[in-house]
Amino acid sequence: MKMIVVLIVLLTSALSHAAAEGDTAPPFTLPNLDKSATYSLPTGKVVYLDFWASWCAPCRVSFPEVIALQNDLGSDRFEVIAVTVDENPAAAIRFLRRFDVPYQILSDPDGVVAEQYALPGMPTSFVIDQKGFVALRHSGFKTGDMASIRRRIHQLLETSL
Amino acid sequence: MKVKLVTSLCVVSLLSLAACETVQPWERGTLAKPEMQLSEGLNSPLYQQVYDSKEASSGGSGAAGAGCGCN
Amino acid sequence: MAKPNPFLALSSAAMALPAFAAPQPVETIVAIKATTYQEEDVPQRDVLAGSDERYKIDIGQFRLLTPVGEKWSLGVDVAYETMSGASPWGTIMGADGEASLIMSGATIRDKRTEVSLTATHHGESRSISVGLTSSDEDDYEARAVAISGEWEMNNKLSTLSLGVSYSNDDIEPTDALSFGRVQREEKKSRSLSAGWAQVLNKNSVLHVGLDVTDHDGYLSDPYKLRDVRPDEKLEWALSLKYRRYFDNQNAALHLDYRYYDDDWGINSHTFHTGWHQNFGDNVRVVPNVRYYSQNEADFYRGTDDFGLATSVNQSSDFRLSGYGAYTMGVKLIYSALQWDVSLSLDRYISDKSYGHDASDQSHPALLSFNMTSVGLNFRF
Repeated sequence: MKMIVVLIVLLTSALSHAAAEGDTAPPFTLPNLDKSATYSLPTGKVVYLDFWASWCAPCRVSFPEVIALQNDLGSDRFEVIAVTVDENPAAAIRFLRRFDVPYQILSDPDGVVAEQYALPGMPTSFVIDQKGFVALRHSGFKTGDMASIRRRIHQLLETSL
Repeated sequence: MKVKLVTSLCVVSLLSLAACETVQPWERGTLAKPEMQLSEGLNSPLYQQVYDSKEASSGGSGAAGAGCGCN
Repeated sequence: MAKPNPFLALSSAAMALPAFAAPQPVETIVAIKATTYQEEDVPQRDVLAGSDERYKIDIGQFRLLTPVGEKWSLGVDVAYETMSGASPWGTIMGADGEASLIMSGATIRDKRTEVSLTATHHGESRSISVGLTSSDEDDYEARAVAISGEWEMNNKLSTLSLGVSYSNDDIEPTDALSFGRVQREEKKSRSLSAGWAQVLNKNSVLHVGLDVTDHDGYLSDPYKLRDVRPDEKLEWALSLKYRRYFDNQNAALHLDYRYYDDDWGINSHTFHTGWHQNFGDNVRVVPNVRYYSQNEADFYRGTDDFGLATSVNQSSDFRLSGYGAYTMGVKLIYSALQWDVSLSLDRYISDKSYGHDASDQSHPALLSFNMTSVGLNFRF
C-alpha cells in the first residue's frame, strides 16, 4: 500500500514539474517589478516567456535580442513576458537601467513559477503557442540562438492565419 | 601528527560534500557573486609567485568555477 | 655583478595558468595590474659583507580573456617585472656567536618577461584547455605546457578538474666564470593536479585540490657561496577552499588551507582568511590575513661550513629554514557595470618564533615586505 502511495506522489510531482515541449504551459499570475500590478500568462497569443536574472551572464547578451524580437514582431499576436528570479528585485531594476524594455518584466523572487516550469538552467525561455502549449524550450543563450527561436515563432504566427 | 591531520582534513572534506543540498538553477544568484568565486583573477598568479619564491612551498592554488548554473 | 633571480630560484615558470571554468565566457575581459613589492633592509648588525638593501620589484600584469566563435575561448597573459637589490650569498657564524649574512652588492636592474597563451574548447558541461608559457630573463629561461579539463556534474553543482603540466627551465648564472658558478644547468618539472568544487547550499561552496609535482635536474641556488641540493624533489599539496555568503551582513567569508609536504623533509601549513564586505552596490572592502609555517629541510644548516664536502647536500638558504610568517592585507574594490578598479595593500613579516617547528637559530635573512597593487578590469 505504502509503495502505491509513494508511486502516486512521485508521479504527480513529476507531472506538476513538466514544462517540456508539448506540455501545457503552467498558467500563473505574478506582480511586476515595482509591484504596481499583477499579470497572468496571456492566452490566444504566441508568447515568448523568458526567465532571467541580473546575475546570469548570458542574460546580458540575450536582452538586446529579445527587445529586438518584440519590437520587430509587434504586440497584436505576439508578446514577450520576462520573469526575473532575482531574490533581490533591486538588483533586477539596476540591471534593466541600461535597456529600453517594451514588454512586461515580472518578479518571481521565491522561484515559485520557475519551479513550476522546472527550469533546467539559467536562462531558459519558452515559446508558447496560441493554445497554451510549449512549442519550444531553450536553455542558455549565445549570439545566434535567436535565429532558430525566431523561425519557430514565425511558424506559429503563420499557421494561425 | 602529520598523518592524523591529513586524514582528519580528508574526512572533513568528505563530510561536507555529503552534506550538500540541491540548489536549483534559479537559486544560484549568490553563488554567482564575484566575492563567492574560488579564484581571483590576476591576484592568483601574483601572490602565488611572490610566496613560491620566498617560501619553500608551492601548489594548492588552482581552482575551478562552481555553481553558477549559467549555460 | 651578481644578478640572482629572486622569483625563480625555488620555483618553475608559471604552472599557474588562469582557471578556465567550463562555460564559454560571454564577454571579453581585459585585466591589468601594477604592483610594487619592497623588502625591508637587513639590519646592519646582521650583515658581515655586501649591501643591506633587499629586493624591490615592480610588476606589470596584463590579461585578456575572450570568447572565440561558439565553442572556443582564448586567454593571453603577459607579465613584466623589473627588480633591483641584493640577496644573501651565504651565512657565516660571526664573532659574537650569531649568524651573519654575506650579501651581494646591490644590483643593477634585472628584468623578466612572461607570456602565456591558453586555448579552451567548451562543450556542454566540460571544457578542455591547452596552454603554453614562456618566461625569459638574463640568466633564466623557462618553457611550460599545460593541459587541463573541467567537467560539470550534478546539474553543475559539482565540478571536477584535472590538469597535467610540464616545464623545462634553463639557468645560465651571470658572471659564472668570475664567481666559480655553474655555467649552464637545466631543470625539468612535471605536475599533476586534481580538484573538486562542490556547491554545498545556496550560500556556500567548497573546493578540494591535490597537486603532485616532481622536479628533476639542477635544483640548487647557483648564486649562493655554498648550496648543494638533491637533483630530484617530489612535492605534494592538499588544499581546501571554502566560501560562504552571509545574507544579513552582505558579505562573504573565505577560508583557505593548504598542507604541503616534500621529500626534502619540508612540510608546511598555510591558512588564509578574508572577509569580503560589501558597502552598497559598488564598494567592497576585503581585510585578510595569511598565516604560514614551515619546518626546515633535511639538509638545511644555519651557517655555511666551507669545510664540508661538496658532495654532501647543504644549504643555509633562509627559505629552507623552520619559521612562520604572517601577512596582513586589505583590498578595496569599486565596481561599475563594465569595469572595476582595486587597490591592495599587504604587509608580510616572518620570524622563527611564528613557526610550528622552528629551526634552532633564527635565520638573519628572514624578511618582511610591503606590497601595493592597483588593478583595473574591463568587460565588454
